[in-house]
Amino acid sequence: MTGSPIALVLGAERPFGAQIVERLRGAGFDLAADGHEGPIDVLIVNVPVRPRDIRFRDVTDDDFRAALDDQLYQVVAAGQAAVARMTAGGSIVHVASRAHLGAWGGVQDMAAGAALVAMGRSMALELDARGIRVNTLEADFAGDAWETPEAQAEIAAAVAWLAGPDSAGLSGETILVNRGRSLRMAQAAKR
Amino acid sequence: MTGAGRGIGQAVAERLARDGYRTIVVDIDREVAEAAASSICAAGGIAEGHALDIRDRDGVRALFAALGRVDILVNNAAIASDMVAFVDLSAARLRTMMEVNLIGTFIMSQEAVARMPSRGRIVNIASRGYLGGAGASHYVASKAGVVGLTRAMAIELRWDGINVNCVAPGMVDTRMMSSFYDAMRAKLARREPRGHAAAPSELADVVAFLASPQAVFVNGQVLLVDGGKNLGIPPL
Repeated sequence: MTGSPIALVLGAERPFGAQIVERLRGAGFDLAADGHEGPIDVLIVNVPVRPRDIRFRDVTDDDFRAALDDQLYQVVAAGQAAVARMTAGGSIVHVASRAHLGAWGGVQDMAAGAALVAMGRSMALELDARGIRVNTLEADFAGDAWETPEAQAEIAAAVAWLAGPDSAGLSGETILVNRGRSLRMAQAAKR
Repeated sequence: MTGAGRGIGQAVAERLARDGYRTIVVDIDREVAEAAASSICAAGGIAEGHALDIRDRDGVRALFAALGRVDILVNNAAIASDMVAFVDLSAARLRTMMEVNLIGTFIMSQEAVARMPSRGRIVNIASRGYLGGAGASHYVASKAGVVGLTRAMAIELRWDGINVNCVAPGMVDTRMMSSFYDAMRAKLARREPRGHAAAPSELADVVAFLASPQAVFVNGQVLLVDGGKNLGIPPL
């Protein structure tokens, strides 16, 4: 590789996006601008979700489709487009919330989150032959009281680590970065 | 019981009928739904067959309205597909898979819950594939979605006294598997821990347990029924 590695961040306007961009710059990545069509080394797809107060019985089919559009279909399309522009050593990182573990309210987000985790594992299996790694980072649900600047920085640091060569031995993994909050079962029931 | 005209679904329907439940055999194919129901009745059970596309919200609602109360829902209806590489997976193919396997399961569950008494049970049939697999990322994602839905529903519906669990089978001797793997089928079966695929009735035994009052303390769980293949257990 000559020059700085190039990272494309999709969803930079969402929670943690600004911190991720800043951290990647600090780690020596060039950030690809929107519409950039050349080769890239890293793809970050940032799709954290906020908690929703929608009861199971009130979720509509369109709510469900919107969650899949947002958290699965567009992530798959981004990954397919990125793979064509990546060479061996490339790294794809999906940034999601801890939805696959389940939580109170918004079953469509939990189902879509679980689908994304499994999609990441399948991508990792298939893209291994091209030397491309795929990992998932799950923060807690966005927009809660836990989301301090320090917590956001911790998430961005973990994303930068997954993007870079220090995590070269890691693919197909799902890492929860939430200070152990998902270990506390009561959190799931709180909503 | 959806997807009950053939395979795992038919075996579960037969088993639940033997356990004394009035069994509603739902399949997208009317002929096989009615044939499966007739065969249950001929064996002394109570069953009726209905044609239904689980994506059809109005059709699903009309069926549940006609049935009145439902104590147990088994979401088994699903599609598999030919293998396709992730880089070649079309948006349409991915969408169709998610619409049937995940949104169809959601529609059935939501309409059932509206008519389910306390102590109702939902059992979803996912797949060992939810753990990830090469060449079938759309199927894998759809089944992982079912697992995620299972957990989230269990968390929400516990106040209604409704248990939601999930069975993740490995290779089972069904029409879906033969279409999935075709020529590779026999070879793959020999790689299973027991050296062969499970019989549909062996899956039905597990589903019947999760649907029974004995499983009242089992909630939001995924039970892998694959002979231990997910642990990497080699064939005998």
